[in-house]
Amino acid sequence: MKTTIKILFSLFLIAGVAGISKAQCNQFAKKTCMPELNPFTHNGQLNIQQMAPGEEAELDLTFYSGMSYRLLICSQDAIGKAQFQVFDNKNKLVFDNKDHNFAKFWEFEVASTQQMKVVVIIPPAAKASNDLSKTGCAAVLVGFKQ
Amino acid sequence: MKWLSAKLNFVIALAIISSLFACNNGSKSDAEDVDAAAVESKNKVAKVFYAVPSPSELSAMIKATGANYNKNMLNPASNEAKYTSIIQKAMNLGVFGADLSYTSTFDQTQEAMVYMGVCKKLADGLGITGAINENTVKRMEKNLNNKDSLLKIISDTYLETDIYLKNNDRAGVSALVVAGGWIEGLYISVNIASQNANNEMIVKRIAEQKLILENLIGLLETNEANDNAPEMMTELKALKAIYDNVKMTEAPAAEVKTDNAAQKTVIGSGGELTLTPAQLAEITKKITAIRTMIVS
Repeated sequence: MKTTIKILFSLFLIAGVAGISKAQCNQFAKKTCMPELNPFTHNGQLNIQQMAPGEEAELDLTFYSGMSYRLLICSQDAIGKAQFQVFDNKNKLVFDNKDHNFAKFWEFEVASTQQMKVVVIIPPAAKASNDLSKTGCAAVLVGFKQ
Repeated sequence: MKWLSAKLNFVIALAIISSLFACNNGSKSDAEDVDAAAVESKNKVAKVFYAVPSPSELSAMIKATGANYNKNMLNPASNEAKYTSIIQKAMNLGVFGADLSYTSTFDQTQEAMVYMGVCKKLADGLGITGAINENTVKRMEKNLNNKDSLLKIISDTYLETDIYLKNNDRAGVSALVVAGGWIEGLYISVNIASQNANNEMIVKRIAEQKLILENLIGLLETNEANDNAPEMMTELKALKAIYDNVKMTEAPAAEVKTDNAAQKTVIGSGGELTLTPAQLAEITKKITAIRTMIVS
């Protein structure tokens, strides 16, 4: 019976960690990432995922002419600094933060409204692993001003 | 025998845990999400987000077109009592949220207070506790003469609502709120266009919504709106069919120019979306029908 209780406790711990991960990611985006948009106004979209080393995520974002934007990619320390690339609507690479010392954000304007693809890449871990403890939250946030 | 006992203990424990998590309304559990993340990591499959701007960005753009404030376009606050189902409440929370952003952007602070009150009632009705509370209303009252603070409070409220719904495995409801907000924003835009034939900028903004609509449909499909709000999905797809005929002018790949002195980077033209008067009329008719379906 003691063993049952021990196993139950362990499984509860595992389930608990997994269960709160979504809330943790949202809190991380709100508390840690959002302030970094200042002085831009957050556009209200919260794009956040739990990601693991070596994983990629992509997001199509529309940017309007006449606005200035700050595109911010924010990741937890557990998964390291995220690389992000921005592609125009003809799939031409227009920005790669790898060429800018893995800067967390990029500020720009668009001459005409267009949809661009943002690809977030979590660098592979030093050793190949599917260790779940290596997952962390990565957020893509957009701030705008006129 | 000892091994068998340990194995039995493990099975009992697993069964108890499984039964606890089986009450998750059939939705994917977070534990499953973590497993999925591990598999995706192994296979390097890209995760795809669908992004739709909040009403605050659209309201700012509407104001920038030089349009005047027109209260008659908005959904009357008194309609709130009509919305009884979860889907009606969610979609009209989006509609009223857009009206709230619109009134605030145009400095109509008293109207904004009314719409915040309506949003609070609908949020309460959806069981969204904490996103809009007495403190939010007090903060608004304190900042009635400070538009920037007011917009910040509204933006925070929108975000808190979204976070609450997603934290509680109600991303489907969140998607309906987003849809309601976008539909109201486009409805306001086509009304401005019909009242101001010379406002080319608003027509341009309406054309550009083609890009957003594709994302909105993706967001709704991902969150099973086909099952929850099938009529609206059918209508949005009909609207998309109209937008499919809106063409983008050809342009070379965008050039990126950085002005180091001004610390500004500009991405060159990627082509322009243009609407014919007939397309504008079709979009106006369709979005009006969709909006009527939601607010009636």
